[in-house]
Amino acid sequence: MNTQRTIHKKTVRWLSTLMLFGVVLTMAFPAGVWALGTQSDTDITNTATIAYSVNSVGQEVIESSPAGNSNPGVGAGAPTLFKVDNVVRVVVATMGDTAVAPNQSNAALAFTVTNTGNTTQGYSVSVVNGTTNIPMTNVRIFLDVNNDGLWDAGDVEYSAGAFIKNLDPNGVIGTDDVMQVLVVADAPDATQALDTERDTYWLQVTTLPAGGGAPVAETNAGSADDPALVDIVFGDAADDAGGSIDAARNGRHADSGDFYVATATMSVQKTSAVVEDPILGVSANAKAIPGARVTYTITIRNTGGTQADGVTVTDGIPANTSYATGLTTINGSLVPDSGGPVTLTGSPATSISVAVGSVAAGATATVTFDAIIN
Amino acid sequence: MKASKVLLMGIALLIAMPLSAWSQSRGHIQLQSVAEVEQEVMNTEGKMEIRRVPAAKVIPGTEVIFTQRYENVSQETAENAVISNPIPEHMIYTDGSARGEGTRITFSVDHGQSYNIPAKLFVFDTAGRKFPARPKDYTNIRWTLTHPLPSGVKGEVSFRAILE
Repeated sequence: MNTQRTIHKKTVRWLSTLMLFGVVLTMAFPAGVWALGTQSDTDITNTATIAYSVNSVGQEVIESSPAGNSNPGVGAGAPTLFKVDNVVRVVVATMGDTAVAPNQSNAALAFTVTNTGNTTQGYSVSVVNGTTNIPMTNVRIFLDVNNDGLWDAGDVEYSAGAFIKNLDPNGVIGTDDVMQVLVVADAPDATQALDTERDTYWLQVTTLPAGGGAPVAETNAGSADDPALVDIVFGDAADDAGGSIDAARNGRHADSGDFYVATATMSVQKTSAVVEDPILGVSANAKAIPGARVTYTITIRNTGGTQADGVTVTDGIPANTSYATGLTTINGSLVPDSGGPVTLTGSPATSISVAVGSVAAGATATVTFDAIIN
Repeated sequence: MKASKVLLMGIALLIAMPLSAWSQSRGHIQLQSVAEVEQEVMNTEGKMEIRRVPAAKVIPGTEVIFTQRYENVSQETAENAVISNPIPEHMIYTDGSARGEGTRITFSVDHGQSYNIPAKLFVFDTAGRKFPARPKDYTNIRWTLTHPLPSGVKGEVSFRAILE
């Protein structure tokens, strides 16, 4: 609590410096600067006191009042009072772009929604599609219940404009001041989802009264009002795109994230090593002489941004060699020569095909087979 | 019996009313406290100008100007007048904003137990280390009038503070 106060007061000092340069005092503050603030409806009171003497005789003190008071005595004055108004400020922030693979279902763009005002408010969201290169389908809105940034079975779907939940002012009361919202969509097949193409989605959040209802509106905008009333003042910022999607001071805020198509990019490397010869046996110094056994190692690396499925490695058995049975491995594990991932073609075998399966983005798969020099 | 009691009470009321009216102006000085904010408005020449309006629309970050207007409403001269004002809760004093013509301005960091000029104010952390006080540490402001206040003379003192 003390730390928060300290940080906050530093912000105040910074703002007061800004004011020296003529920044308008009442409502010109950028949204998000006041992560903390006095709760709306708080009474701010002020009473001054004057002490004096007449003919060197001390007199009873006189307290101030809004209209002026000359009646002496503590309690004879009245405080000058105003109520802290409700500044409506909400910040949407993308948690990053999301790679999608062709045909992927339930890809999610994650956003955080933070109440940076000074009053507990309800919120609804809607989605605005920006650039559309990939025709994403089945676009939905979910509350990210477990806050993992991914779509899960436990996440709850909301329709656009529907009340989702209340958020407390950030850092002021409670901890329920941020929610994560997902824009979930399905990717088309590979004929439409082309490498590096992007789809931009904006999440726009609208401020509602606590518990839901019609979007909040400013009260007494542009007029002097009753100090005893709690007015609603919009203090939210425009979106990062200069307000093209969401303007400043409308009780809403928006930010965008991109779905982009990541294709798998495979690289293949093949090496060979003589591991055994008829004279030295198994030896690091074995020579490539007739009867020697050679291990061929094929390394497949997925350098793309998404998982590659159904990866199969096919290689010819080199001329003047014979396939060595029972020694083929996938990622270090022996696999049978038939009835499994290995398919041999020809008799004697002239080529070998190994079904490696899936290779995750950034991952490597290794296939080895052995051949005997004729 | 009953009637005379009612009559006595009526007489008592008649006496009490002028007495209380008199006591309303018994003090020598009238003190008025106003809270205002500055607003930028377009004037008739189309230029922006700063205007003060009563503090009504106040949100975190708003700077409020507190002004104390004093006037000697008696026939006698008041001496040694001292105006003190606790900085309102939830508000932080704006450095260098205290004004008061003909006054000596001092501040307190201990809720009015002691006052001094900013350079001579210190605060202590939990380990007992001493630091120069910053405006956010100020709890009270005091204006000491340097001259007697004759009958009918008025003046004002003020300070600014920002809502947390």
